[in-house]
Amino acid sequence: MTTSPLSLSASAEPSSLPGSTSTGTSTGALHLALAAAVTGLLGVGSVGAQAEGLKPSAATAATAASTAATWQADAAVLLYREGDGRVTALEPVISLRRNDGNDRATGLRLTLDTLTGASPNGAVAQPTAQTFTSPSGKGTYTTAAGKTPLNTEFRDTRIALLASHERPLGTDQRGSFSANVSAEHDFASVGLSGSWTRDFDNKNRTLSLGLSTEFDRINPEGGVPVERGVAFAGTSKGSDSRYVVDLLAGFTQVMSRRWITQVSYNLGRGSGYHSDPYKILSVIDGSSGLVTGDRYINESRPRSRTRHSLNVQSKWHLTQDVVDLSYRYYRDDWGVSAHTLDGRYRWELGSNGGSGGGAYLEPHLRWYRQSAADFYRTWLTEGGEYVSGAAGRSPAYASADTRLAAFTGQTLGIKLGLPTGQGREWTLRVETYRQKIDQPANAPGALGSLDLTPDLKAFTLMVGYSRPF
Amino acid sequence: MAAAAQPAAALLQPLPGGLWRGSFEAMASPCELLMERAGEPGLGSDDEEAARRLLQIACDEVRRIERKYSRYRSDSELARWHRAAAGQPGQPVQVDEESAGLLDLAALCHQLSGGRFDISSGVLREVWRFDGSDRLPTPDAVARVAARVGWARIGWQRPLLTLPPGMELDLGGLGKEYAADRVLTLLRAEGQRTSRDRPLLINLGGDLVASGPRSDGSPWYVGIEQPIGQTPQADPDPTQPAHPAAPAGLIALKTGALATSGDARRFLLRDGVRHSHILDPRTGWPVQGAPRSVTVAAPTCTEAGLLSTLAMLQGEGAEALLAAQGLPHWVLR
Repeated sequence: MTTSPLSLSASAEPSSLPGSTSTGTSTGALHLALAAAVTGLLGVGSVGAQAEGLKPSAATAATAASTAATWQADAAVLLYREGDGRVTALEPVISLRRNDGNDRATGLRLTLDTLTGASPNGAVAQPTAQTFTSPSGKGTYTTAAGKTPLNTEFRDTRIALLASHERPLGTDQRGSFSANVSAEHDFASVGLSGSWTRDFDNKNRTLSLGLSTEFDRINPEGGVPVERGVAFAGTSKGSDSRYVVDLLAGFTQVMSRRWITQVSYNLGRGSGYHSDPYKILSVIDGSSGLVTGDRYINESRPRSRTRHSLNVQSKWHLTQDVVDLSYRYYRDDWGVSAHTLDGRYRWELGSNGGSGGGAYLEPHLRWYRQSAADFYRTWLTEGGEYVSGAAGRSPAYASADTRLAAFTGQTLGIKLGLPTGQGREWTLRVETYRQKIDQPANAPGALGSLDLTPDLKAFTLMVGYSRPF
Repeated sequence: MAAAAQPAAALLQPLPGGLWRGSFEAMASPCELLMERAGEPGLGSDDEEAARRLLQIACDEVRRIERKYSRYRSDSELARWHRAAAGQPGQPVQVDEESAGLLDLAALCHQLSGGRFDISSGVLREVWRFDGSDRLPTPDAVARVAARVGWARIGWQRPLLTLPPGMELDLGGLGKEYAADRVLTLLRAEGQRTSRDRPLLINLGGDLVASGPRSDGSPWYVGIEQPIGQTPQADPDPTQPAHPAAPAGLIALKTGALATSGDARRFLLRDGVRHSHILDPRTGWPVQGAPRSVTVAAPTCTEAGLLSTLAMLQGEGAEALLAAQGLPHWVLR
């Protein structure tokens, strides 16, 4: 039997057909015999032979069968490794998600982080070796001449737990809330967040609003150092805390059959302790470039930070592949502003013959550029902004943390998705990251010939597996 | 990795109206799967992944059935039966459960239709070419090929099939409708497995089945093609060569299936007489007074397809047969 393709329309009003015949009411023997035979063939015991045509028949009763809860489990291991013996992070994650059949989903995620390696302590390289007291105050570490000082005692283990629940609120609204706790030996954090989404215009437009709060307790080894105080002096004030609130508003719109776009705005404000207790700055002589006077002081950052970011993302479905492009603009009241461009191309490799979607390859490119914070300094100059001694002076805020420097970051990666049927999927992601920090201008004396802000290279490998059970 | 000969992957697009539209090519037809979106049309959302999974299940199943029963593939199950019959005449070949079910159904339809429905009638295509021309075959040629038609001469004792030499089977009159029902069964099972039952509509080149009404209770609307010659054709759109013409009418489908037999584009015209492409297997000649197309609504697509085919084969009696069944139907003459 050959048929013509029928066009489908989801908007027009039904109309009667020329030559259409009204429905009879008797049930034909042919229909009964066929219905019984087809039921046997399809193995659908509920396909009745009622002459109901367009009215719901017993066939639909089958769909309202069990709505037993289902579980989905995801496990992944992420390895992040920086070059030059810097930080290595190993992060196993396991998450469970339960759907109760009424579109209510509950999730639990456990993350473990193990960090080892070395992290820049903020001091600037010198033509001679430098020795520092470790944060615990119990030991020392020494940096070779010409090298950027790294705190080699850097190691940490973090455990984090996130619980979330999501449910429909009526027909076109959803609500979700989540709670998370995370703990390290010197840091603890608890957070709560909630969001509300609403669909409009036949689900072609969605508005979402979210609020999240976080409370952090910072309890460093050897106590919180006195900000702007002379480093390693042993003066500290126990622990400190920080409170962060974020508001999010997002808007998603289906633009056409092949194009969907999303715009979101995030406003965040943190108040409390924002400094890094393990970061210092070098005080150097303005002509020789060598450390002098108080030599090293503890960094200091404002006790509040207001952040804005605007994110625009679009996805296009080509004939079979998907292009995903996004741009994010960020700025805060510390003077940092940033642009991020992110692009992904999902290349469908075709069906694998299983029943869980096809394999795909997804190259990923990301470009990031940020300006420096107003108080970012590679060093402080004795007699300039900083004067040593108890009666001296220092700038209210100063940090040599390169995360507050002006830099450009580039990520290049590829992800492979390999479904193995029955909703199971393996994923493998490999990424390289390169960060180029702007070199400080007018490096005095001996510093002129040293690489004060070496590039950072990092590599990420992630293996994940997901399955229902 | 994708081989060169592999069919194009299925495509998923968001559609205005809160739908995902999946499309793929199979069984020489454009196939589509309309799925209601759950919640927000989020980018890279879980819902998109879920819809993609459903689409892949549908695409895999239709292509599986196509591979298994294709007349055009030497590696199909059908080809295996024909080879066995040619290689060892009179020797039965054993068929699997699924094939046995389809053959049982074909046997039943042959019996119910008084021999008008016959899956061995495919060989008649060797002499009949329905291209709108006036090239009718000679009565001799028709007689020769009609001698190789007749289900009654085929040995069918589940699960053993014995094909006489020169005879061939063609499940094309069942395949698409059966595939539509199979896809619905699989997608429902997946929906229950993931607790994500959603309203959906499967359309395999005009044979449709809906899981149920849209979430808001509204029906799916299905257009029926205007046969050529009924109304003046508008300028064809060169950018859409294979696109169906404007619907001749719309059918509201809440649940169950719709199948259409007949084809507005396939006929022979001789001395002003339009010969339909529906052939009577008992004579080898076109059925007299067959409608241009028959659309039937039934709980399953397989049943809808069989009833519309049986009605076509009745010729003048199409409406009477359908009226007796008490199912909604639309006949175009």
